[in-house]
Amino acid sequence: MSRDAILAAARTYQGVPCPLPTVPEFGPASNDALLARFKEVLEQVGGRWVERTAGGDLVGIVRKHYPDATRIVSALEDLPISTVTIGADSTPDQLVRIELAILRGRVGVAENAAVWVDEAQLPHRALPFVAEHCVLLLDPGDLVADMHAAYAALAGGDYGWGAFVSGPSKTADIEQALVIGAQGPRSLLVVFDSSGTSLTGA
Amino acid sequence: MNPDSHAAAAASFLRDAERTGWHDRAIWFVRQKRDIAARSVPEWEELRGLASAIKRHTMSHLALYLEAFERSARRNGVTVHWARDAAEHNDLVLGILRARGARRLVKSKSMLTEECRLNPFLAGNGIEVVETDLGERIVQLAGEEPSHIVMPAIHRKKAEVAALFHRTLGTREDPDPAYLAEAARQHLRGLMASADAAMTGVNFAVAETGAMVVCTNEGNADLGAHLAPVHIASMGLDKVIPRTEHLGVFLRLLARSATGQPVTAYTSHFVRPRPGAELHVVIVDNGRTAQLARDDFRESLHCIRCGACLNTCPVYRRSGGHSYGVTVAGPIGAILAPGFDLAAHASLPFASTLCGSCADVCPVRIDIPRQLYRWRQIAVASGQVSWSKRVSMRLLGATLASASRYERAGRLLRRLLRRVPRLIGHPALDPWSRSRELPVAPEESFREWYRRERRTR
Repeated sequence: MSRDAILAAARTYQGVPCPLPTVPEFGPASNDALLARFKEVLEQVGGRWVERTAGGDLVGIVRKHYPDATRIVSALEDLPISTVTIGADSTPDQLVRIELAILRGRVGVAENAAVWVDEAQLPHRALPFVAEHCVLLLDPGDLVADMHAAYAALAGGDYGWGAFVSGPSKTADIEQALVIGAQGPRSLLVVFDSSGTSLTGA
Repeated sequence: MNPDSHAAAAASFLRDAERTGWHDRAIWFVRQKRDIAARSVPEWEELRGLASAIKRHTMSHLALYLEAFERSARRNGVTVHWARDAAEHNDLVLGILRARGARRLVKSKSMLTEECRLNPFLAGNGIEVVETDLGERIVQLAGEEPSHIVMPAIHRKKAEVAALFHRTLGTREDPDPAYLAEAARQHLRGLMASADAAMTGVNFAVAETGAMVVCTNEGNADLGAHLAPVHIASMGLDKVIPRTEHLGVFLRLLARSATGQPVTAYTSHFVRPRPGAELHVVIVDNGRTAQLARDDFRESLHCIRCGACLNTCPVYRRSGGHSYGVTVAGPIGAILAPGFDLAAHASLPFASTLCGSCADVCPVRIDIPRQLYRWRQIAVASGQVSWSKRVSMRLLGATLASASRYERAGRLLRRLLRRVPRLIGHPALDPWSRSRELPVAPEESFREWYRRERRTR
């Protein structure tokens, strides 16, 4: 059997045992510094951001940035802006026609503007990729400095699928020319939301 | 077979000087972006050291971690397959597709499936294979191989892509990259929405959790995998890492080293199958345990396929990926390929100046120049170099080994070269001098001058 032959070969030839190093923690930063860094890197990777002030109207923010979007899926239960309902049994044809997806991120990483999303916050895994545009809500209190801290913050989470999303989909495969909006979303808007109030405003 | 095959292929690439310069500059630009990204991380060198140590540890416990990964993946509901070689891998993939009656397969970028020649095999068995990474789709439509492991179509100019898309996709012949990418977007999204199965590679496989991490910028791996009823992930057995916390180290290094990005746009963690769908992983050996057995070359398995060594290599930049004749070109390819087939790839370890730049940029600190040098010794010992190189090196070795022979040879050559300047370095006989001019031979050597000066004092 190939499995046993491969494992036997690996066992025979793996050489002198070497110790596994401990990954240290690298410089923690203040929360203000994290937010500023995240915003700066997000702009570099082609994303945009907006801060939702206390009691601010999220629907208004979405409408302002995406005035033409009609086929909208919101993964936030208390945001009455969805025009399309998506579930685990939605077909590819239904999914690829979504214009705007509104999702909540769990952790944001300042060093690379990556935002963690996983199955638990989504009606379908394809949603962050099929939508023409993507809005990610992120609590600035969920920002961490780097990827080490991000995985530490996610530890213990039980997800069947999850991803770090850093900016919109992009390609530079033709002569190194950057094109935003390759196969996935053409834009990504991060909404910093620390108001803790109802999403539709006070 | 041909001991000069890289040099010969490079010579044909170099015939178009304008294109060679363009290729060199385009790839050097990526190297510069990598430098800026690396310098922005204060602990960069510490991360490289950690990455190297984690890989060394993993390779020294490889069987243990492969079994742990298999256990975790099975527990997650993933079907695990093992393939000793390319043929077994291809048969397994075809078997999975046939069992589901799949006709159209969408694929994100996977150097392993290129290595296994999966696409022509599946096409020959009636499966429509669609590469969904833009660069991969370009080379697929052009009937070519990728010339770079990260930027598959870096050798193609936008006007050529425009002509290709005009011919194959019916677009207008507009070289604007935004227009071409948009055309590819429409074309590929349609194909992905109607696929029967999806394939991806695997950047990292976490033994502890069974997670398979796939990095893309376009989002095509996720689009394909989340829309199709079947997802097959192919991974080389060198992709396994012990724990989730190690992802932090590798992901901080990978995209910065590859393209100068702080991270790829999407870093996807596939753990369990999507409800109602299937998730398979094929763990492939294909020569990797044989490389593990070689003390001098084991370290080459640490590679995370960022392409930094290609981008920095003066030979790669000026000879193009296709001149290497292997899936993984450049310095890392030149130490991997001879392990597969020394006779076929004996010229590759010589496609280097041993300048050491590849080792300086490697995020997992593989000592590529040392391994290139070692492969050269093996190639010579097993008679895999041309007779002219063998004879001239033996002659040079004998001359340099003796001070008196060296001095006599120097005197003789200085005298002869003044009379017949092209005696050595004749372009017809010595490829080194085809684009170089020897300096005029001096009247006397330093030693002769020194002795004369001492006498006159």
